[in-house]
Amino acid sequence: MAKEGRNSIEETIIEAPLTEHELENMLVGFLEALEKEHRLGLTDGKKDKETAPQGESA
Amino acid sequence: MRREPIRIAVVQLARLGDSVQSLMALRAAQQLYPELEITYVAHESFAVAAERCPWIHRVVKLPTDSLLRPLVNGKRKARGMIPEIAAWIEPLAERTFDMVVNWTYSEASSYLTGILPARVRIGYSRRRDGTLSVVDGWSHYIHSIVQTETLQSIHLTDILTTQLLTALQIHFDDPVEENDGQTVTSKSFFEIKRSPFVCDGWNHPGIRWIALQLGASSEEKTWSPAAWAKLASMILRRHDDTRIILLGGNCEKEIEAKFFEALRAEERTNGTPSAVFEKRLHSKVGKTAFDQWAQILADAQWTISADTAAIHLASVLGTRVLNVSVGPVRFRETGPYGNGHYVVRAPSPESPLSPEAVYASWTYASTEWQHRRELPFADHLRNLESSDLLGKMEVFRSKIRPADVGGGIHFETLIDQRITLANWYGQVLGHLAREWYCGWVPPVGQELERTEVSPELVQNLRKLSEGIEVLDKIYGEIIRTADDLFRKTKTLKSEHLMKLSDREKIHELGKKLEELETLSERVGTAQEPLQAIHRLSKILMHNLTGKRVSEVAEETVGVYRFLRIGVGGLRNWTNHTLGLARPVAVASSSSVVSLADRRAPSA
Repeated sequence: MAKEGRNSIEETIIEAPLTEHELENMLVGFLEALEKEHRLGLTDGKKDKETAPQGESA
Repeated sequence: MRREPIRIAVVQLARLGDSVQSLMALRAAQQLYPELEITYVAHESFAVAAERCPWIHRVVKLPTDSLLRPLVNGKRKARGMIPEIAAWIEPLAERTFDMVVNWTYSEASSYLTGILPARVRIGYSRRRDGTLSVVDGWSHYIHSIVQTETLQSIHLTDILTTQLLTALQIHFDDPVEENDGQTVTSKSFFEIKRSPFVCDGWNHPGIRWIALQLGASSEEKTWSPAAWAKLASMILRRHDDTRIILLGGNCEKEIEAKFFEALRAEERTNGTPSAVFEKRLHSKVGKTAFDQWAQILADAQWTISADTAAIHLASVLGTRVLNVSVGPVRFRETGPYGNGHYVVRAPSPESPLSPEAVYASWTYASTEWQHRRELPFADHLRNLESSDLLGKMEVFRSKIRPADVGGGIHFETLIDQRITLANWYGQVLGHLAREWYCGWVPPVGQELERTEVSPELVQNLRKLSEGIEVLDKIYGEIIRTADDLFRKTKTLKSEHLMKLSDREKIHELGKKLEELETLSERVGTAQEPLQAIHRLSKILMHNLTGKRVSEVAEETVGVYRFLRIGVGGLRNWTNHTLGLARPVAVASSSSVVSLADRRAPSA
């Protein structure tokens, strides 16, 4: 892998921390999206099934 | 010389199988960058694999179930739960990470990635205003291709490894040394608590243990209990030195019951008392925690499993895997990683995969030492008196490419077959991605054989050639127009106050760009192989960062130059494949010579 791959990565630097309002919105976005993914069964591997990794097939 | 630690946070909020693949990529990166100090963020129920990796600095568990319960029950709203989620994030956000790596590629994980303070982010993130931000090349590829219906041929473990190593090389330093493309499979990958006793005969030198992982992540990917039972019966009847251990979670007890029911019926049919076989078959379904499960997978000679976490865990533990690929599985992306694993599947997701086909694959794979892979698979089927299986199954063997031909895993087919347009295109995309993101160009036509090219593919590629030429012209015109716009706007002192003639010219160029993009949409969506490049164009344009017209125009030039590399690669592959399909004559020396090459020079 060479430095020529430079165009594949862009740097994002957050110069200032998120404001309180921005952070709150991000946290709400996180929780709502997580709830949505949970309802779709994406956070537990198998919806309606036991999820502890006891020989997990997920 | 000791290098400064690089603090990275890896967000992996997917399932256990994804987690193991991420851990493999991380381990590979850490071998080249020992200074990596890794914080690993995972759902509480899937964190155990990372917790067993002594080389991970910290594992942070998201208490998903308890956190979400009030929301799922409708008792509270997300905004009311800010204190709880903030309290969980606070220790993570105390110090700025050198890099946050989001390998979940989900909506929720993108918010978490946006929240964590970091110098560099890769994977999906969020801008300050909450909009989705996808900034690195591999994430563009995942967004526009991997997470769509389009097939592609690069394994996810290779994508994640390359993505992280590229970022580390660009933003930090060169790796300490090359590892010659060695795979990250090791019995010491995990530090597991081994049980002194698994079952009678375990680890006996004269017994071969095969682990069968029943179940899968979804019903459509699950092989039927009756099929598993028939496979087990065939193995036990024909191989006296073999025993089988069944694996699965508590939720797979029902499959286990059906398995035994089917096995008894199978043995009654074959006139053998079932108890004889049941003594050689031990079930651990619902009885193993992670450590014993990993111990069994590590100690067994073979793991046979559908699309489950077991195939990743077994391969990382150095156990050979036969992946029974059932349903809509993209095994080239998520199959077992390493050398010498096998994948068997039916020719289409809808057609059934027979136990006889899986048995034939396993017997071929487990006798490699004997036939040294010089025995064609078709001959193996003939020896088993199962030639009728040809055409009803596909078999692949995994192979890590040497570093000088690009590295990464490749699945070689063992049964000659014609390649479909979708699979052909999957191979082309793998080639383009390596050219785009690795700065290394593999030879056109790598791993494509003349015998795979069908008349139908040729017909499709001829049609595609026309679309490629049109799209290339449109992209060329967009580059010229955006470049004109850039030149016209970069010298302006203000984007608001300017000469009327300048305003008219800028308006004219903007309108032309709009028309060209509409045209490219029409051409780019007309043929499936062009759609992926078109989707990539949308994602790249969405993620432009310029504020001024001149900056956006300059970035647009860059985007379409980049896309044109893809169009050029697609053209090269199309021409190469059409060239392979030219009529050939067999010379007396048996070498294959193209008729075109034998043509006498024109007068």
